[in-house]
Amino acid sequence: MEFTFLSPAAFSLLLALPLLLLPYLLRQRHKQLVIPALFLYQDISAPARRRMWGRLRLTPLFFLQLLILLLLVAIAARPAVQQETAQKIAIVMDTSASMQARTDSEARTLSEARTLFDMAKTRLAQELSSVSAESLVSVFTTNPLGTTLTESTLPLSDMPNIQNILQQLSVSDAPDPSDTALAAFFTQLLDERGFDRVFFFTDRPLSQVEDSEQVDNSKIDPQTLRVVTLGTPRPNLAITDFRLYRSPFYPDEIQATVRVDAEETPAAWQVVIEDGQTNQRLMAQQANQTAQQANQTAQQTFSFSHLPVTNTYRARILIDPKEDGLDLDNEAYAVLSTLKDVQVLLVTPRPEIGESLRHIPNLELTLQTPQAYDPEHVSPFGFILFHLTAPEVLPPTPAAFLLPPEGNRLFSLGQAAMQPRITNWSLGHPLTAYLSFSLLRPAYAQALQPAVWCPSIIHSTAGPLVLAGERTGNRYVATGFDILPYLGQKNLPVSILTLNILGWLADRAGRPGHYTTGDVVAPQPNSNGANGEYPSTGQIRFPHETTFQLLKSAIPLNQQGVYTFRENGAERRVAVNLFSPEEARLGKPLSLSREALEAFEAFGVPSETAERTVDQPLWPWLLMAVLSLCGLEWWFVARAVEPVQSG
Amino acid sequence: MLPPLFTPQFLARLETLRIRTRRRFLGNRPGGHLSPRRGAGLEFADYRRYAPGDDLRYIDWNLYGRTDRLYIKQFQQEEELYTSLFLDLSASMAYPTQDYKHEAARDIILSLAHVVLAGNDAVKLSVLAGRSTQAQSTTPFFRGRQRLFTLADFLSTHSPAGQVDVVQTFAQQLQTAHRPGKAIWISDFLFPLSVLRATLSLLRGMNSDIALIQVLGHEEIDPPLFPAGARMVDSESGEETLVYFDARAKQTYMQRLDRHNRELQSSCHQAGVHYAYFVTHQDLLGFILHELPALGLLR
Repeated sequence: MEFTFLSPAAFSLLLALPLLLLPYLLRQRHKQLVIPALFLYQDISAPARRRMWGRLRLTPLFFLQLLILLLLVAIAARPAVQQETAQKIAIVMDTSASMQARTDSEARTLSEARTLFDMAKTRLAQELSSVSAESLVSVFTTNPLGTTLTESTLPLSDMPNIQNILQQLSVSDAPDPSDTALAAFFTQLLDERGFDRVFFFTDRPLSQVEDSEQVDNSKIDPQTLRVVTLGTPRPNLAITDFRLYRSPFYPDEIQATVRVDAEETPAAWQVVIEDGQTNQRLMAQQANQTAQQANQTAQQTFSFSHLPVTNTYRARILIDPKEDGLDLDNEAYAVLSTLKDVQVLLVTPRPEIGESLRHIPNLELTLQTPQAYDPEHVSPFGFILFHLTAPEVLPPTPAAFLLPPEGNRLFSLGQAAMQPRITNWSLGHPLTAYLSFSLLRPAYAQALQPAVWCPSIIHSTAGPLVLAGERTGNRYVATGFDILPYLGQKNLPVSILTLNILGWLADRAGRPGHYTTGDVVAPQPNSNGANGEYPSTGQIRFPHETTFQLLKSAIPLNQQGVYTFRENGAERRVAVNLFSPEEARLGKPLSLSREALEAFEAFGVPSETAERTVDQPLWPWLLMAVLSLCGLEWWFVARAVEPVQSG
Repeated sequence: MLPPLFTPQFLARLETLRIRTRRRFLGNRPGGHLSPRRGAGLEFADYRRYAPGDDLRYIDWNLYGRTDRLYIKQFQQEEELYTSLFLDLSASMAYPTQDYKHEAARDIILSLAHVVLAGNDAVKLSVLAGRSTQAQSTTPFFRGRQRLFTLADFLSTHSPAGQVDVVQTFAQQLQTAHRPGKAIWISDFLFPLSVLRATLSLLRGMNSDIALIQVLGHEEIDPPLFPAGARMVDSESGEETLVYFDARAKQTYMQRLDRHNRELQSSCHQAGVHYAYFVTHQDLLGFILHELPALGLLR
């Protein structure tokens, strides 16, 4: 408790205090008073020269009035007592997926190994031990960002309750929010919600500044924002992509690709594909240790063919848990797309040749001449085949350009060749699946010039013959030879390539609708206006119950798994995966951007403000004292000596 | 012109009162006051031996029957009373100005004059004023109610002013006074008591029944404070002194005034003089109609 004046400049009013003497000096101009007889007044008072201050006569009332004025000046100076009040502390727990990583287990058995989140809870108690017990604590999470489990602040003295709340807290499978969003959230806590300190428990280190001068000038005040980094770097394997490929034209032929970010790990590991519902192992592949050792962060892609048909698939990395930091990114889910007839528009000057495509099942063909082609009316079609023709610009749907003519504006043509021989092709690309390139010998071919967005898939002695790529979300294929008419088994290599092209164009994998953890699904209204129902009982993993209570209108997909949504009475099943290389990179965890945090002014708050004080004003008490003294003055004046009655 | 106080009702009530004396004084005319003379009064006084020439109607024949001697019955003579009223018109009677001390004294003395005149007695009014302002300071003895207006006019020509040498002034006044009787002196008596005692000796030498009425202003008994000091100027002498009239000084002043008044009252008692005390904020009618009769000045 410290006494202070909030407006000390008011003490300059003390210079005006001598003005109080003015009326007393004016009174010294003695009034002449005629009295009936003077003899009663003779020698009734002491001579003025004997008085202190000479002729100036200062009565006790003067000193009373002086005291009143002094108190008024003190009131103007706004005296206050600074009282320390409880600090408001925000505990922000990083609940991103990487917090599920196990701690370094060199000295532990696997059963004793704890996650970084457990470590954060333990570390939290240590950090708060140095904080005043009167502090008020609120607990927030980063996924979803800003979620709090405490409706109001809790006193730090109520540690059992805080521990209970922390026990209820669970880690999500979602990645970290962006540094900018995180810094904005911290600013909101400090500036708008009145918190004095923020403790951030995370596995991400604060980015290092390069020289000492920047350290001195760093605006991040550790007394305001305390970043507690947990864990140590350690290798980790992570599935960063898991895709199923099912051509509508080969409904029973399921292919899968699994991409794994393989940091250095001495242990052997393999990738397995399992039935998502029964956990029955379907296929497995051993990792290529040699390739992994050559590049410490090499990505390995595993292709699986002839998978049996089931609803959901799960890809898993099988590795000794002691050798891997995070289990969560060792698995991924995929949902098999449903089969539908594909609407195909064939634009060709020779429609009679195009009729042969009608022999392909699950394909509804519409024929148009190049003159009838209208790019404004292509939306009903799944993709377009331009045969011996090419539009002026790329159509807004997936399209294949079969032997584009000379002078077209989309693809540059190279030399022509008769019966060119296929020299190389892109291994693992869906367009090259099931193809025997030794048998693929087109009678006439026109080489194509590959583009950056559209690389060569199949190369021949004449040059690139098949280009494929994606642009503005659509897939495009160009072939330098004519694959029509579709002859089926009579020309098996070309037919397989044709089906591969049609299937790749019809494939929806990688298109919008593919979710990753942390995405927010907004319910779409039913026809009767009611919100959709989320999720159904068919889901494999349930999101945290609290998440649903807090976010009533939008559901964040914070848990990996397969979700079944009912929208307008129809069920839709989606797979939700982490697929965050940054979260999985435990060996070199992504650091918190110091620049992003410093961009918010809240972190420039000097450390003195960490001592939260409240000024308790004293002027009401002084005002009461002044009023009392005024009453006392009035009483003194009114209480003149009672007259003595004569006679 | 009579002051506003003198309404017909007030005058009628005054006429019911009479001046009361402690002694008997000789008068020239029959009146309502007992005289030392034996005469044709109603109240029996004494017997004396018959002498030739006495009125035979006053012989007490019953006494003659028992004693064979002739005795004449003598009765108390009732004669008029000569009343002298003295009004202090020194400058001190004008202060404090807001207390109208002079006006109060004037009303009292006119009331007493009306009482005298209504009782068929003779009244003379003398003002004690400074020499410089005094043209005619005394009236002859008046009789009859109508003379009240004459007295009022006489007073209206005088106002308080100047310094009065009380002893000297009384000595001059009494040189022309040949009639003993009632003497009533109205003043604030704010002068040294030695002066008063000397004056009372003069009045007693005139064989008068003396009464003093002291009139003080309200501010004289409860003066305001001047803690920062004031130059006090004597209204008569013009003498001036600086006084820090704070609460303590006021206390001293009031003690002095109280002691002065007590000594004044004590001197009156010792000299057999009636003493009455009036403060201007009191009820003047009540003082005249009730307090003065209670004190024995009127009946």
